[in-house]
Amino acid sequence: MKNKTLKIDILARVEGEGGLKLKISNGIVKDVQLKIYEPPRFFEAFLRGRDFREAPDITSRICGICPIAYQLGASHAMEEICGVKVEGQLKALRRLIYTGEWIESHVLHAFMLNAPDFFEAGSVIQLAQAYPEVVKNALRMKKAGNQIMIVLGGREIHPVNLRLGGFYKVPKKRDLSALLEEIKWSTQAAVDSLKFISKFEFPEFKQNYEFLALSDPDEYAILGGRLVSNCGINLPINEYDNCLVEEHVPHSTALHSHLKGAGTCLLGPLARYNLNFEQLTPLAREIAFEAGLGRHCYNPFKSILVRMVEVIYAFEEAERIIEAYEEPDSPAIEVNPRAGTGYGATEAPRGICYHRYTIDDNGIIQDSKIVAPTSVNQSRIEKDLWDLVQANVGMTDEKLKFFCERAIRNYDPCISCSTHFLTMDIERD
Amino acid sequence: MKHGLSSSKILLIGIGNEFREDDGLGLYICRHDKIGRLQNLVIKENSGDGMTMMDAWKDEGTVVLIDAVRSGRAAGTIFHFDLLKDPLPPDLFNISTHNIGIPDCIILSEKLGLLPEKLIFYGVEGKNFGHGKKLSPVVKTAADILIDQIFADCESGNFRGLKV
Repeated sequence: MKNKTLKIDILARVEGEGGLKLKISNGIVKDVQLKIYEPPRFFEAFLRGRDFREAPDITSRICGICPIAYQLGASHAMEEICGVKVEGQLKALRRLIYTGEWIESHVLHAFMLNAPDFFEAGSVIQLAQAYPEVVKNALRMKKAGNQIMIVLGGREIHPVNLRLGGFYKVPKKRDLSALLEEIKWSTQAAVDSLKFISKFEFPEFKQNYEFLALSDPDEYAILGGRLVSNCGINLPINEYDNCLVEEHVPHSTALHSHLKGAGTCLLGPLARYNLNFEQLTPLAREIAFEAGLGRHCYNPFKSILVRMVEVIYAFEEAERIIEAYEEPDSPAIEVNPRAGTGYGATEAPRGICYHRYTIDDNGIIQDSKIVAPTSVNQSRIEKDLWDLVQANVGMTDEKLKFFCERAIRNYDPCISCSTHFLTMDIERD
Repeated sequence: MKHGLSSSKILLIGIGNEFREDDGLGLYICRHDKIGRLQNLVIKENSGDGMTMMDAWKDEGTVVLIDAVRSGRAAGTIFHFDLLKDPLPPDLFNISTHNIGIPDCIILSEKLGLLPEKLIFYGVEGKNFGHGKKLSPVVKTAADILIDQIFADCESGNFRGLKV
């Protein structure tokens, strides 16, 4: 009997810190553990007792990559409690800043973290050496996303201009129009980048996923919608807790979240693409097909293509919103507290980011729950790794380790979000 | 000749987080009154996002970076490097998981032809990186020495540096 244990102590090029442990016995995979060892951050606990207006800014600190997902999820939940619905241009501006977040996150992942895998390169530096123009264009696209965040949010990381009911200050039409030239350039750059990436060699690996995403009858869901899956789920977001359950597993400081009674599901770009494809723009759909993506995609290694399809969509959507923009009369709707429980969910770059809050009549937060998309994807990643390792069990340990790391990067896991990680304080004397 | 700023201007980038004690070193220095008196400086603050930093320096002549260092050396140690001549010691910074750090940015900029003409680094080994807006006394003492040095170097255009 031959047993072996493979360990990857620190996963590279993922957001946060995690590792992987595989157990193989006589060529059979016995255990796969995606180990997340970042300490919990206790955001949900220290939100209790805080004013409801503070939730967007506090929760945005969970992640420097997707702060908008937290700000808007918290805002939607609080606004629901207080009977406020943000519509019209304010809603459009929220969608616009969210496109900025998608762009910067997706481009960062596609080119800086994921693309080097297809060249067996250690980092984007080797990629830059081989294809400098491709990397330069990626940096310029990311900057265009950053600019949307800056104009609307005040800064690209942890924006400060969002609040319950809208914004502290809304941009002038000319402020947004000034972004258009770069956005239009970036749309074409994203098309060219997708065509470039489509020439990569993708491992053959398909899984029978249950995809879970938000769905909105009017648009490719970003800001909200119903919880839908390809296996029959169709629920309002206030049923989230009846649909997904969190559990602690010994090897991860991040809670694992999965479908009640039905196991794992996958959130994120692949889920959105498979469930909401028809709501992408004609150009995004056309280039997706040209890039070899079918109407459905079950290969996680092709998620890099889907991310770039979403980047095309995000740039086009940004252009559409800016062209139609008229400065609203007021930057925000007044939100006054009243006791209740509210729910908010948006499509973060990595998938559904869920918030639930209970506040009292004075607006003091009594209870909160936040589920980052990586919490849901973790168990799905482990399941995929299990199948992937089994199918490639004959690989040398070194190749298998690289292949697993690469597979994990397909999901762009944000380990920091899922553990609500905070760097430990260190005092040296 | 680069064309981002006029040739006499120096871009000074203060890097860090003002809410994490000594991590705020770069911001403390670039906000200091004495540095503000320099007429030939353009000052930018950066939270540590390497790609934003690359974008800031790509068309510039002389760029000065100021950042806190976590290398295990004695707190208050002052560092000075001419980054286009001296490679940064690999242990000078903690690896960032979210962003491309300064060493990678320099290499990436080199591959992409985005380096400024001159890239100078000043840093101080930090002691505390917890919550708080104050620099630790040993780091503040070093920062004040460094402010005088940066003032003199930027004024003269001769980045000779100082090691303490």
